[in-house]
Formats: sequence, structure tokens, C-alpha cells
Amino acid sequence: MSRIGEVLEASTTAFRAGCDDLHCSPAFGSLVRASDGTVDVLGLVYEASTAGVDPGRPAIVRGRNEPDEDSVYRQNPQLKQLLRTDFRAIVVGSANDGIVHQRLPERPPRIHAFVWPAGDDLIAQFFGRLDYLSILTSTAVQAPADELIAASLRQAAGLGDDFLVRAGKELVVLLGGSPTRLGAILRRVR
Amino acid sequence: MNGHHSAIPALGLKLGHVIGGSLKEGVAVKLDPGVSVESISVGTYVTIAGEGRTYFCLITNLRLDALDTRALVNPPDIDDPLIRQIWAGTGIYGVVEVRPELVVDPLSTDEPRAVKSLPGHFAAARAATAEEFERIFGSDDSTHFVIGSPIDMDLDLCLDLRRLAERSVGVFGKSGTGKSFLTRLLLAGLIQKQAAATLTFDMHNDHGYESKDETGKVVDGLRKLYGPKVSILTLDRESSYRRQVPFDHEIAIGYDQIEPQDIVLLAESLDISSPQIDALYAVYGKYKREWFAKLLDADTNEKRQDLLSEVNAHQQALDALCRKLNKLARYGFLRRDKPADYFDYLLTNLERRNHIVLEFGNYNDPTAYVLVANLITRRIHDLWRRRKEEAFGDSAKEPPQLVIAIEEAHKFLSPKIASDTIFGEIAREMRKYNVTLLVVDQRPSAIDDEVMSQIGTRISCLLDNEKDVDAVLSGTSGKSELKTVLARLETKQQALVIGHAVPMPVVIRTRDYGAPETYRALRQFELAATLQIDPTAVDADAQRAERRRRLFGDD
Repeated sequence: MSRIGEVLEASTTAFRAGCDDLHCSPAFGSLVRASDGTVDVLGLVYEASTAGVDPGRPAIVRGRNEPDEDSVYRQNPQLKQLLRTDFRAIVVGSANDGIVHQRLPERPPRIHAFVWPAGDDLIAQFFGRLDYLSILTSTAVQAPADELIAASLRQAAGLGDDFLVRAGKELVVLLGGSPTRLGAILRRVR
Repeated sequence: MNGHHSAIPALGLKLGHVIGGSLKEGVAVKLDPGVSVESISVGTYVTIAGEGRTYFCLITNLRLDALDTRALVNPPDIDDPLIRQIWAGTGIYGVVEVRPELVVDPLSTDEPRAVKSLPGHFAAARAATAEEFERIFGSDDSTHFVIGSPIDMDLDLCLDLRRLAERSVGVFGKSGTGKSFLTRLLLAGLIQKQAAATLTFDMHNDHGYESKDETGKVVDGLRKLYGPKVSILTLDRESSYRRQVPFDHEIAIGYDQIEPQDIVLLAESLDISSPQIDALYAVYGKYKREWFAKLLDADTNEKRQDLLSEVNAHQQALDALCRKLNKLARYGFLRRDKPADYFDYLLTNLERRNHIVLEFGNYNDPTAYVLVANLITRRIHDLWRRRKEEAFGDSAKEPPQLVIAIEEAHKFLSPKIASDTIFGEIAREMRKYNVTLLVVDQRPSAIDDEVMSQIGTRISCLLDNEKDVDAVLSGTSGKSELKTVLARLETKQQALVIGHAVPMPVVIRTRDYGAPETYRALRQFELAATLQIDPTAVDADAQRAERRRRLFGDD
């Protein structure tokens, strides 16, 4: 499994990472991990962005005379240095020696820690519990919580209908019995 | 909900957990997501496992609840199976209200005790198991009799017949709810388990030989089930012949056996006023045992004038009294000439712990019924009382437990006359003398309150009159909860049993009386017991003669 980037900014509740390759951010809602030196901090990707590296030099239009988009990059090889793709993840737990905790870890990941996508085993293990939903519904991080919940559940949909029922029941309680909000989330899952 | 979810919960299945309650109002149990509220019935049982003890509880109410009422205003799309599954048991859920009745220590074999504590929060509630039922209600043995099964459960539920016979029993229910079959079943139980001798005043000729159920099927009476242990006496020989019912003896009552109080009891149905009663006692004071014959004979003005010259009575009152008493002359079982005295046969049989069904034939009007039942019972009352007193000195003379079954009981036990009839007295105090009543009635509210309070075991089929429901439940704890249960009974074959013969209130589905397997089970009878010889009956003839002398002054 190949790394997807490294941590550029980190706090207890969220981190920002730069992607190794332009436009190659992990999918919205996917589970990623980055080490704090001892344990892997687990995050759910909630935002990705691509922009100029130098805030003073934003991207400008370059393709007016090009036949297709790819040739814009072929004609301007420096773009890969001037542009960058970042993503942000909300911290939802930690993993250490195969033990997963769904709680905020003791420390944030280190800057320049490598970020890896979660493998199938980790995904199965992580979604075996649903405590992370309460982290998402109560977080102070400015993230589209309902969309993120739906996306994370989509990722785990392979675990079957039972999983969805379990997650739904958890959400019924967390969302205080609001059927509209729950209905909207579940429609996004399926 | 699909069929699977609505199925009756298996015995022992976990249903939910305690979420609140009070000792006074009962405990609330939230149903687990997998348990459909539709599958739970009022009147069934759950056990709640506390930390060190198990609570046996009756379900008294069911309700629907929601985590947040907003969900009710804007309901989720529960047509979607996934959404429905998610919401069931979390956002929306069923709550079962239960009344803890008894507490048992699962590790000991001690008797279940009355509840004085509550199970804590989140204690698990399960559908009661067969073993738990057996522990509470006992199993079919020498004193426990299978009366039916708890509703929604396929297991036997027993009554403690020894305790049943110890105090008076009421069988209530509106017409057509199966009181009669229930009564016969109780009588069969008393006979089979030899818990008591029984005397049944069978107004509608149902219990003796055979009768028809509502589908027209012939069902066996007690004589057919128990042979010579049960005697059939009849007041109406012709009717018995027509119905081809074998009987052991015809009962007739001599005019001289009627006492003033027998008529006073009928004052209402015969429309006898109190001056007329005064006249009656005046005649009695003069002629004693011939009083009734004298009054019936005074069928002309002349004869009445003669009578008036002998006694101190008001003329109009006496005239009216004679006219009214003449209505009784049509009863063929009342005889001027001294009939063969079969009271004696009756009393001896009862003393030997045998059983008697007295058929009324066509004399099944309330007047005849009250007259005869009261007259016979008064003699029993006298004898049992005397025997009991004798037993203080000699315990071998202890009279056997006797259960007297009467129908239309409110005619004997209404507040107006309960204090005058022998039945009122039996209900109130004859327990001490080993006589109790089995009263069958559709109007329990018409029965005197004090009598009602003495009815130890109450078995009630469906009642729809509020007053009747109140009367049946008067004096029981948890009345309002039981009211819900009683009002929800099915119209047939279901009854609520409360009181002395059961350790806690229970709703039963009555045993199928007419089924072949019931007959087989009911006939199982210890042969040795049927041949048992009552030591007090060894010189029965001499005793009989003596008793006759003492009771009736016969020679």
C-alpha cells in the first residue's frame, strides 16, 4: 500500500496533509492513518483542495491555445511544483499493534509523518465499533458532519445491512430522534 | 411487522430491560429492538432478574414511546425495511408495564414471597419459563389441579384446590363467557383431587349427567366422569325421565320442613310485605311445624276466618299471604304428606366426602331455586356446625370440607337479603366450620359487599359492566392495573384468577372441557381413595337414625 502524503499541520482533533501527487487526494470520507511516533492516529478525510503553493501566485488560465487539458501540463511542467493538493482529516481514533480505539489520541500526528490509506483489515476493525459517530456529531472542527458520516458509512457498506442497521440505531440516539436528518444521511449512504 | 416478529415470544426469551417504575405503580420495561410490541399480551408473565432475586411479574399495560416526540410529528419512512429496522427499538419503542407480584431466590427452594422491593434499572426481563410457572403455581399433584394454561403459553397452570376449598370461591363473567364449564371444571377438580365434598344446586341441569355445549356437542357431566362418587338427586322426576338422565333419588320437601325464614327470603319474588310476614310468624307461633300447611289449606274465606280466630294477625295481611303462598303449591316437590326423607341420604353422602348434584328439572325458576337451596343448606349448616363443635372434643368428628355450588348467587347474596339467608352466613363465617361456597354469577355487583369480601378466590371471565368489574376486584391490590387485564379478556375460555388459590393474579385459558384428553385426565382417579371407608360411617345406620332424630325430630 503506497503512501499518499505527509502531515503538514496537526492538532488533536484534525490534521492537514500534503499529497505526494497533484490531484491525488484520498476520497472524501476515507480512513487514513499517520503516526505520532508511537501509535497511528486515524483520521477521516473531510476536505481536499488544490491551489498555488505561493499564496501570492494563484493559478492562472493557461489552456486557451491547448487542444486538451493534459497538454496544459505537458507545456507547463513547472505547474507540478507551483501547485499542490492538500487534504484535511478529522481525528477519530488511533491504532496500535492492531488495537483500535475510537477516541481522540494522546498526541496529534507528527509533522511530516507519512499518511497511509487504511487497509481492508483496519477498515473492518475500525467499523466494528461506532463510537466515532459521536466524535463526528459533536466535533468543533468545521466539517460537513452529516456528509462525512454518510461517506464513512459508504466506505463500510461492504460490511452488510446489519452494519447499516447498527449504525442507524446509533445515529437515531445521537441525532436526538430527528428523522429528517437521519433520513438524509441514510439516503446518501445507499 | 412481519409474522416472525409478531410471534409470541418463546419461553425464557429476553424481552427487554427495566427503565423505571415504582412499587406502587409497577415497573416499566423497554422492549428490545428485536421484540415486537405486537407479540406481547396483557395478562402474560415476565420474570425480571434482579441482582440476587428474581421477580415474577404480570404484564398490566403496554404502550408506545419515542425517544423524541419530534420523530412522531415528522415520522421516518418506515415503509423502507432498513429505516424501519433502524428505528424500531431505538427512536420508537414499546414499553411493557409490569406489576411485580412475587419474588423468588433462584438459589434456594424457599416459597415465593410477596414483593417488597423493586428490580433495579436495566435489569433484564424475560418471558417466564415453564419451570418458573411450576415453581410459582405448583404442578399437577395431589392438591394442584390443572385449570388451564396461562394465555399465550402452552403449559399447564394449576390451582391449589386445598386452598380453593378453604374459602369461598366466586366464578363471575357475563353470560356466554363459559362460567358453567369453568364451574364444572372446578367441581371435577375438587372431586378428582378429593379436596372437598361438593353439593351442586344445578339450576339448569348442566352438571350431573350430561349437557350440550354451544355447538350442540354433548359433554359429560360429573356423574359420567366419576360414577358412584357423584349422586344425582332430582326435584323433578318427570323431567329426568324425559331427559333420560339416571338419578339416585327424587327429593321432595314436606310442608312441615319449610320454616318461616325460607319464605321470608322469597319476600321479594313473592311480593310479600312486612305486615304479611308478621302474619306468617303469628301463624308459625301458633302451629309451629304445621304452619305452612295451615296457610295453604286456608283457601276459602271461611277457613281464613277460622285461622284468624286462632292467631293474632291482620285480616288483609293474612288473606294476601295465603294467596301468595298458594303460588308455591304448584311446585311438585313440595308435599303435604311426609315424603321419604332424602335429606338424610344427602347429608350422609356429603359426610362421606361424596358428591351430590341436585337437578331442578323444570323447576328452574329463581323462587324454587332459592327456596330449595336455602332449605337444604340450612340443614347442612346446622349439622356441620354441630359436628365441628363436637370435633373440639373429638377430632375424629371433624366434618369434611364441603363446597356448595350455587348459581345466580346474587339472588341469595344481595345486600337486602344476604343477612337473612344461610348463604350469607356461610360466606361470612362458615369457613370455620369447613363449609364454603362456590358462587356463580353474572352480576357480582349485586352481591353484598361484605359477602364479596369473604370470597377468597375470584375467577372472572369477561365482564363489561364497570360496576361488576369493580365488585370483582374490590379489595385487591393493584386494582386499576388488573382492571385493564380483566377488560381485555376474550369472550370465551379466558378468565382472570385472583386470590387465595393462586399465589398471584393469573389470566388463564381454560382447559378444553369437552376434549377427550381432558376427560381422560379428569378420570384419573386414585382407586384406593374411591374405596376409602370413612371410619365415622361404620355404624352409619345408627348414626343416621340419631341424626334424623336430632335434626328433624323424626322417629
